[in-house]
Amino acid sequence: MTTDLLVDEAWRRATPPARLRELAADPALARIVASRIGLPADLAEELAVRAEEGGDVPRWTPVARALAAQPATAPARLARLSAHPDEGVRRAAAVHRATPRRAVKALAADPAVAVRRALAAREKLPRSVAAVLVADPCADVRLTVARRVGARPEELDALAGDPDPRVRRVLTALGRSSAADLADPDPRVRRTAVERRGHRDLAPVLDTLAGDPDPAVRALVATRWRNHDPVSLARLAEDPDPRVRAAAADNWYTPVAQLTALAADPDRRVLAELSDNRLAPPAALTRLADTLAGLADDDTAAGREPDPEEREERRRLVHAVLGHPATPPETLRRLHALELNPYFHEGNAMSQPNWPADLLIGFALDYSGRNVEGEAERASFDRIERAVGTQPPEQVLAAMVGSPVYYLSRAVANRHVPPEALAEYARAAALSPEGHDLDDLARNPAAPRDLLLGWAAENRYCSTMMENPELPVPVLAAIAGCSDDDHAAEARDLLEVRTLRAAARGETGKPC
Amino acid sequence: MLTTSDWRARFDRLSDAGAYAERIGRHTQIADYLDDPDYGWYVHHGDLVVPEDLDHDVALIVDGDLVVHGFVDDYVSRIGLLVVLGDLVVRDLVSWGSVYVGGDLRAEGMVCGHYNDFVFEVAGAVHGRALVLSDKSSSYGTGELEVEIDSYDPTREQLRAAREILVPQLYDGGAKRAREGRPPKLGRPSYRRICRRLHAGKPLFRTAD
Repeated sequence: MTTDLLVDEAWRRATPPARLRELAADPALARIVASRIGLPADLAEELAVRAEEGGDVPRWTPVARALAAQPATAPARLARLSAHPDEGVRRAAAVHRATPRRAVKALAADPAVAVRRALAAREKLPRSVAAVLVADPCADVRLTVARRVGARPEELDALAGDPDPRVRRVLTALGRSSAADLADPDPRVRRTAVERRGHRDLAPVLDTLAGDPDPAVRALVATRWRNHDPVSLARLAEDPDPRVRAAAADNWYTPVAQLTALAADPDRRVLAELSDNRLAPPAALTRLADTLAGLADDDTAAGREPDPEEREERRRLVHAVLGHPATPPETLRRLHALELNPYFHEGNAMSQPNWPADLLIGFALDYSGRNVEGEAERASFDRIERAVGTQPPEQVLAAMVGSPVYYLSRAVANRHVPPEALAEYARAAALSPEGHDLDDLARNPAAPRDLLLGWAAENRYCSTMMENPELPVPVLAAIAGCSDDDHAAEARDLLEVRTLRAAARGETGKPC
Repeated sequence: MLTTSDWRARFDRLSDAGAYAERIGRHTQIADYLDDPDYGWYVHHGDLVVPEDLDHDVALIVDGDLVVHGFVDDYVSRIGLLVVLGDLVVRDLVSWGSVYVGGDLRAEGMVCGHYNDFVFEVAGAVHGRALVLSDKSSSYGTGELEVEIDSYDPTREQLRAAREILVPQLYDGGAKRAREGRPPKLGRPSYRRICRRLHAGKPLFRTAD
């Protein structure tokens, strides 16, 4: 029989114990038998005796290793295996659940680090053994104790101030270190210390952290979750490292002047974060559009094509600026005219409130022209198409909002729609919700205030209202006080940012 | 049942598992997962023996053999990814996540890979009573198997053979049909029913052997 067939036989579930005994005469097959699931305890003991008395130690050692990990091995045998000359056998015995306590204690003094480390990772580690291991000369052993799911408080306390930064980092991540971890000499510890704290905890030390020598620490400190302080953010927005500036560009609390300056940053990551910042001010978005137009002009003047990756990044930036709810109407017009985004979708423009009325009407007619069905829709579409050029754009928008053509009615998100048309849309939606998109109305800065207040009180459309760039303060205050934690917290932040920006403009009395 | 993440102290955290992707080979599907740092791979050096059923909920490389004295389910709490560079020996294996075995996979009973996310790859052969794959990207050698159900287009013969040895409760509507003295409808056994019976400690096969 070939070795492969014998190996298969040694593993096969149906092989009878008598045959297993025969096969186990060969140490290579005995290792397989010793690893078998459901091995009878008597056969495990028999194999252990063979492994101990079989001579040819190198060939029988793998059998001892398998037995030291085998659930069927008896405690007394595990005690013997824990003193085996092979490190691998002792290591397996160190984590075996049935190894007697006396043997476990003895293993704490094992000369091999791998054994002591395995011991430190035991499921049940006696207090007395843990007390020895937290003072182990090898940092890997102490680290393993620190990483134990069931590490006891006194063990973690004993490891505080450990000379190895990996241990200190684990303790910091577990919240078992003091405030001194923010000044730890190792930057990875400081990063972890900053990462697990919020803006309130970090507020007193922001000035120090904004000058941290590690850019990753400074970048963490510039994020919105950790920093609501415009003064330190103004400093971080001018950091020499682009990762730090990028984090500041994405922070709602970064002052308007710095956000506007970042819109001309030479690093694309900074521009990308700024375009993602929901509270990027109109001035910053206009400057960002100018930056993108300038890059395109430079390429044209130099007669070069940006590489595909660069082109894709710029396309994403243009897409983000065109979709940002605070991009001013004329900036949208200019940027759109440059045709820098070949994937521009007219349908997407319908939910952006600032598009100039004439452009939006054109988008809507182009896009919905392909999808008009039935007589009523066709009549409405024709009427609106005829009105273009003969009626003011606002009146055309009003007609679109009341149209049965779905994509025309989505003009309800646009701020140029007359207020009475929006109010009528809301009334019609209340009578017949089907076919009306109140999420779009919630995005519109011109939406009736009472309607928004009512929704806020009922905790409805909060998510889309939060996309409304000019949501009235009383509505924000109502959302801030509602029970939905996510929106309420976001609304509180928005109110705080508006107050800070108003104060910066010298309008301390009335923030909005 | 033991949860792999509770054993984290036994493993090392890898900042970059790309070296293992190189070692296993870039042609494998698991290489993509090893290259992705978001999975947060752990590694265990040497053989790993788990004394009971395993809820595998992390991304783990075992640089040796893995012997589990019970079943492995990689979608109990969180989806687990498992790379065993040696042999994987288990009583049963049910996988929604990714499993890669560099050697042989030797199961006493069931090996079940389900759903089209993630992969099931065995560089050696799969041995066991039944291998049931459904909508799973897979690659393996066929070892000693009583039943094998292909991932996408199982034959009627494969489905009939499985129905012969699996308990009817593994099939949707199978228990009711059994009470009526009829066999389950010809089809795949249900992944969810397999998991449920494993966790309940109930047999998957009609006879012990």
